[in-house]
Formats: sequence, C-alpha cells, structure tokens
Amino acid sequence: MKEFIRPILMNRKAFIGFILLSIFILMATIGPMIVPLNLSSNFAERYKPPSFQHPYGTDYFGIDIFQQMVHGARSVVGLSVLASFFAVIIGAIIGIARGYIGGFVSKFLDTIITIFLVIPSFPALLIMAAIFADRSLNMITVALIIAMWLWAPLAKQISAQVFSIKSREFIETSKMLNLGTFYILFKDIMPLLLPYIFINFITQLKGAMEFSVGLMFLGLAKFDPTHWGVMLNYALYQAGALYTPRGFHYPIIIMIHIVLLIYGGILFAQGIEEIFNPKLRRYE
Amino acid sequence: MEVILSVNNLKAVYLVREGTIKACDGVCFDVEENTVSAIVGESASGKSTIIEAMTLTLPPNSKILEGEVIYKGKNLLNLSEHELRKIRWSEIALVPQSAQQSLNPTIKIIDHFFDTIYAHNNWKNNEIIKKAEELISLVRLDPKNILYSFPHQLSGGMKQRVLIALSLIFNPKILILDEPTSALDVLTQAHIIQLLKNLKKEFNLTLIFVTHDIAVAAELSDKIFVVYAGNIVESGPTREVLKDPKHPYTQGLVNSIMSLTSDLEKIKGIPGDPPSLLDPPSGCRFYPRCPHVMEECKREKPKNYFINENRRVACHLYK
Amino acid sequence: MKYILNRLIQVFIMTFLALTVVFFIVQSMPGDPAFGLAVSIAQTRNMSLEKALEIAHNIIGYNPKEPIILKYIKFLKNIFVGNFGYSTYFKTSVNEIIGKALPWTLFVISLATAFGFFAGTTLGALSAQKRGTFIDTFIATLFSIIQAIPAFVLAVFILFIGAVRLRLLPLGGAYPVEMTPGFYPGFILALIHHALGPLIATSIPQMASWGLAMRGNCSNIIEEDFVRFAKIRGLSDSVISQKYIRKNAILPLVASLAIGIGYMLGGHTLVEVIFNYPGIGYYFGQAISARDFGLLTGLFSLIVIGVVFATFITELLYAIIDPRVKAQ
Repeated sequence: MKEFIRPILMNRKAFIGFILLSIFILMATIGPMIVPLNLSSNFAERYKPPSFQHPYGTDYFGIDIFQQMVHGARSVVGLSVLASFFAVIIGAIIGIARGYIGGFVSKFLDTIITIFLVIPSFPALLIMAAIFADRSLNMITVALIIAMWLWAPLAKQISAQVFSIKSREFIETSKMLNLGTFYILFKDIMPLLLPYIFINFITQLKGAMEFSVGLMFLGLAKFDPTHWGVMLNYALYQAGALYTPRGFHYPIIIMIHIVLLIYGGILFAQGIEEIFNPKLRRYE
Repeated sequence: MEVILSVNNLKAVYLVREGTIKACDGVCFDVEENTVSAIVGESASGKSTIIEAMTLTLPPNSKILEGEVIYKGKNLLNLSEHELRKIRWSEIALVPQSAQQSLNPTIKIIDHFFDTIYAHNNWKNNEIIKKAEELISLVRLDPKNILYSFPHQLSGGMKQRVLIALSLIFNPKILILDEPTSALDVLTQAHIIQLLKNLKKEFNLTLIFVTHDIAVAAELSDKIFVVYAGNIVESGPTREVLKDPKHPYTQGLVNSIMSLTSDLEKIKGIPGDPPSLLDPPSGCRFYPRCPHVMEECKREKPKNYFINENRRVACHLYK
Repeated sequence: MKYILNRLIQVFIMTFLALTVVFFIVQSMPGDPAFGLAVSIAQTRNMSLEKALEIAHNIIGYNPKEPIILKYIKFLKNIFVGNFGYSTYFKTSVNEIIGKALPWTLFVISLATAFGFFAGTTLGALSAQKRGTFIDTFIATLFSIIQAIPAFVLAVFILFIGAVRLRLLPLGGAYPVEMTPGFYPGFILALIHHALGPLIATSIPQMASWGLAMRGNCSNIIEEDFVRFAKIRGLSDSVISQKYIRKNAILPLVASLAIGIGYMLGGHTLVEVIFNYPGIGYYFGQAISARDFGLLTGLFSLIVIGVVFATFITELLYAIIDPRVKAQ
C-alpha cells in the first residue's frame, strides 16, 4: 500500500487529481449522512444567492442547492464508477480472450468488438435508454446500459497488449513448463495488464460521467431527482433559470461540479500514467 | 603531416535524474590531415560523446564543461551558431550512428539533398539534382531509383550510403562517422569499408570514425584512439598499437580478439565490468579491473606518457 | 487495388452487421411503432383507433403480424435502395428529414472540425516545441481542462452566456424564419450567426483533443534521429519545424479527420438539442422524446453507415498521404 501511495503524493498531477476525486467521493459517501435533504418547496426562498445558510443558494423551488448537490453526488459518482467498472470488466475479459485464445473465437470476438466500435455510442445509448425508459430503472441497470457502449475501445487495446505480452520469453517458458492457461493468464499476464486496466478505469470515468449526465439531461433514465444531469435539465428547462438573472448561480454551480469531477479523474489518470510510464515525464 | 583538428582537454557530461554522467573526461587528441583515425571502445564508453562534443551536436540534456577544439586556428566551441553553421557540413560533416532512423520518413531522398543544400547555398534546382545524382552514383547506388524513393524503401546499407553521399555534398575536409558499419551484415560492412577507402583517396578526406569493432578499425584506420570510460587510454598508429599494446586495457582487448571474436561487445577477456560513468572510480578509471594495479592508480589519474613520438599511453606503468 | 476491393467487401459486411444490431435494438423497443400516428389519424379523421391503426400501418409499411425475419429483410432491402423509413411524429419520410437536416449538421461539424483541427494542431505543435516553458504549460493545462468539459455542458454555458445573458446569439434555428434562403450576404451572415453557438461548442473540445494528440506526436518526433540529423546538416529551425517535425506528426491526424467527422454525426446530438439547431442530432433528440421508432431507426442507420464509411475513407487516406503506411 505504501508503495502505491508514495508515488501519488510525489506526482503533482496525481496528487491534485487524487484530492479532487477524494472530495467528491467523500461528498458521495459520507455527505448524505451529514447533510440533510429537504425537498419541500418554499417559494419565499426562491433563487437565493449563496449565503451562510445556503452555501450554494437555492433553486426555483427554494430548495437548498448544496443539499441537492451532496445527495446527487451519490448517484453521479456511484453511477460513473459502476459504469466504468462494468466497462473495464467486460473490456478486459473480451480483450484478454481475443488476444490470448486465437483462432475462430478470436475472429468472432474481433468482429463483435469492431461492431461495437463502429456503432456510435451516444446515440445507441440514447435508444437503449429510451427502450428501458418506461420501466423502473436503478443504478445498476443504468450503469450496465452505459457500460455496454464504453467497453469496446478498451477491449481492442487490451487485446493488442495481450498479443504483445504473449510472445515474450517468459510466457514461452511457462508454456514449456506446462503451467497451464490459468497460471499463465493470472500469474504472467494479469500483473502486467493491471496498471493499464486501472488507468483505463479512471479514464473511462470521464466517458461514463459524460454519458450518464447526458442521459439524465435529456430526461432519460431519471431514477434520482438530485442527479446532477437531472438538475441541469431542471435548471435549463423547467425552472427557467436561464431567463432570470437571479437564477444565474444554479446551472453554473452544477457545471462547475461536473467539470471538476471529470478534471480530477483526468489529472489522476495522467498522473498514474506518468508514474507507470516514466518516459512521459522526461522533461518535467 | 599537418594537424587539421586538435582536441584539448574536452570535458562533457549528461545531466540525468540520478546525477551527471561523465562521458567525456578530459580528452586530448590531434588528427592529421588526410588520415583515417579510429576511436574504439566498448559501448557506453563515451566514444560517441567525444565526437558529438567536438561537433557540438550533443543531445539537449548534455553540457560541455571545458576544453577546446581547434580547427584552422579557431576554437569551434567558441564560435557563434552562425559561424558554426557555415563550417558544419561544408567543412566538417558528421554521419550519426543511427543511419536507419536518420532520414525523414515522409520526404524523398532527393528532398534531403534539396533541404541540405538550401540551408547553405542557393544553387539552382537542376544543379542540385545533378550533384545528387553524381554523389549517389559515387556511393554505388542507382540515382534514378534511389533519389525518388522514400527512406523506408531502402535497405540498411543503402541508407548508410545515402547518408555518406549527403555528407559529401560540399566536399568537406573532415568526415566524421559514428559506427558506420554497425547494424549491417558482414557483406555490406565490407562494401562500406571499401567505399570509405575509395572516397578518402578521391576527395582527400580526413576521416574520423567511431567503432566498437577492432577489426574494422584495423582494416580502415591509420591511427587508433582507445577509449575507456570517457578517457583516451592509448593512441598511436593502428598497426603498432595492435601489434604491441601498452595499456593494460588495450592489452586485454587485443588478447581477447586474438582468441575468438573481434566484437568488443562480446569480449569477456577482461574480468569485471566497465564502471558506471555516473560515479567512476577515482584515479585511473581502469584500476578495479587492472592486473597491474598499484597504490597510486587509485589516487591519481595517470597523465599521458609518450612511448615514442607517435604513441601515447595514459598509465602509471610508463612514468 | 486488390487491397481496396478487399476492404470494400469488409466495409459492406461491417455495415450489414452493424445495421443488424441497429435493427434488433430498435425492435426491442416496446409498443406499436405506428401507434402515435394512428392516434392522430383517429382524431383528425374521426374514426376508430383500430381502423386508424390499419391506415397507419399502411403508411409506414409495417405489419405487426409479419414475422421478425421478414421485417428484418425488408429493413435491409429498404436501406440498400436508400429508403430510410417513415417518421410517424413528423408524418413524412425519413429521407425528407435527412435531406433537410443533414446539410446543417455537415455544415457545422465540418467547419468546427476544420477550425478545431487547425487551431489544435498549431497550438499542440507549438506546445511540444516549447516543451517545459510557460507557453507549453499554459496550452497543455488549458487543453486538459477543456477535455474535462463535456461538449453539452459547454453548449449550455455558451447558450446561457451568449444567447440569454448577452443576447448576442439566437436561441434556435438555422436561420431567421422571416428570411428567404438564398445566396446573398445578409442570409449567409445570418447562417453563420445561427451556427455560431453549435460551432463554438463543437470546435473547442475538438481543438483540445487534436491539440493534445499533436502535442504527443510532436514530442515523440522531436527526439527522433532524423530531426537530430537535420540539425547536424545545418537546416534552419523553421524548415526542421515544418518539414521534419510537424509534417510527420500531422499526417496520421489528417487521416483521422474523416473518422472524426463520421463520429461527430452521432456525437453532435446534445449540442444540437441544446441550441435547437435543426440538424440530424436535433431530429434524433425529437425522435427519442416522441418515441418515433421509424425516425430513430432511419437516423441511427444513417449515422452507422456514415461512421463505417468514414473509417474506410480514413484508412485509404492514410495509405495515400503517409509514405510510411504505403510500404506495408
């Protein structure tokens, strides 16, 4: 664990990214326990600017925005992490299988990967969401739907990696020693892929975030009224925040949070990549 | 014979994360006009650094600490970028080690000639084409084919020849080659060596080349400089040095060649490993591996001692 | 030539497989695709819903009792002859909608890509060549912050500031309704004015991603031996920068321009929805919220075909412009 933490503290990008992500993760996990959520409307308090009582101000219905952001963080972070996690799992399994097995199976998987690469993800995701829109959705189903349109590029990259690792000497040795596919996959190949998969997990967060917020923003798959995408939708269309000068802070706060969360992920991924691949930091 | 290039006390280092690599540590030598000099040494002994420092073509993470390189009465290290550009390539040409990657993959060979000539002169286009055809035939290639090919369409030997042809554009006085024969098969090596011999005669060239292959040095050079860990440990006429090596390192080298292979990379004749240039041994850098090691070798860096008029050894044995 | 033919066959197979997936995804949508149309027919013509459904089925060429495999074959056949189906919400053929919408989308994404590519590669190369300086840090940080902004968040922001607060930009449409389309300066200015929001929202993220790719490529190439050898030969810095570094770095990116435009066809949806810009994405959004399956299938098929062919063109282009690839 120590060997893992130290380089993160040493690398500026990884450190800032780590801090940003930690803040949002704390917001999503502990936040809802500390901050109460009061969703009853109070029109007297409509569009109050940020103050001590309401750190982020209030929305059209006079509901505290900070409370909503904190409670929404749970589904935003949870959904992105889950979707990214599923995507990485699917991508890794299919990628390793495609890279390692060869023959007909490999050709078949290759075709599947290519089909998913060719079909543009976001429109496909929208259609999927529309299909399931009338059924009750929870976080896991939405995450799975999103992951379905995220895994393909990863599978392709991983299969290429496995391909190159496969031909290395020590794999040949293990094969000659008859150590078995299971041993080779998990003892020889996996350790080399893990950093790569981990970086991809973080990079995928960006895609997962964009997709989930985009979905909610379009009014699809709304399972949580405080999800930031849903809030952005309200801010724009329902509460008319766009057209009242007083509502200025509402959409801006949501946007800043979305961008900061994604930026944290990007910085962290870049930092981790530099740690594992020192070639990148040559001049820095 | 007249000295055309004189290097005095040249010191250069590479700056890396772990510290400074002292790859060229007080190197002195003279090159006479119209001769062939070979700088030999193991890989990572700093032999390429010497010629790159001489021509101010070191990579950006390096630094020349002191020394002088006298050419025609001027110290190259003190020249302005502009003056240097005039001399470089038109009087002193350098063919780098990695011939395979030294040509721009997205332009044709002929464009390399255009770019190089435009950088120095304003010749007419047809003059440039004529010159390029002439030089390409000179290195025994077919100009019609080669000039309009892209680099990746040529073999390794062909690319090395193209580089040599490029270096001859302005009839330079001095041609410096870094490992001209490495990464080539034996037959191509022989061709390149023969080519260099002919060119030297035809153009009155002064050749300086770096190699890790003593056989190549023996075949081609008049004078040899043996490099060990950033120092020239022995120098003199090639035949004399190889016949009667004085420095214990050269002795080890020559002995091991007699046995099996001429490739220094594969030599196991001398016990121990070359020192890290990050933290080289004090005194004589060879002392940890030297069979004749004495107490003062560990303390004091040996000076150059003259065996005779032409031969020099940096070893306390010859005080 | 044989290679191209081979690839072309692959492209057809790929299109066919992708369209198959499209078909089955849309098929799994619940409900009768003609239902919405039938309701409106029943209301306007004052007849029973049952009868209206029959008429609706006739209009869109849909038969609920038909086995799925026949529907599938019909779908493929229609796409093959260039018939993308019928929109029940807009009550017109999808082809007509595509004819109206595609030019706007292509207009915006090609202009945005052109600008994003030009600005991105220029700044990216500059950043790589000034590695470690303030300019580099500034450009690299700016680009990675932009990468963290989803295009639709940027679109909302631009709409919010540009159209609502400052009232500089229109709130929707491709041109003012009161204007007659034509080739006169006023109209062209209006076109650009209306496209400005989507243009900025699309080109800024593009600039960042092209820029970071260019920066990476350039940083690798600066270390190549051929750049060092060019310096040794005394070539001027500007020649080295243009012909040796940038040219080598940009060629692979130029090739992927086509694929970028292909994907933009689909990725542009939210931006067009936010700006009410009547392109493919806007109609896609409408189809989603109206559950207009016919329109969805048609547009989705178009996007998929666009991407497959863009991929193909990219590969060809790459082989043509980059001598390194031609060799293989």
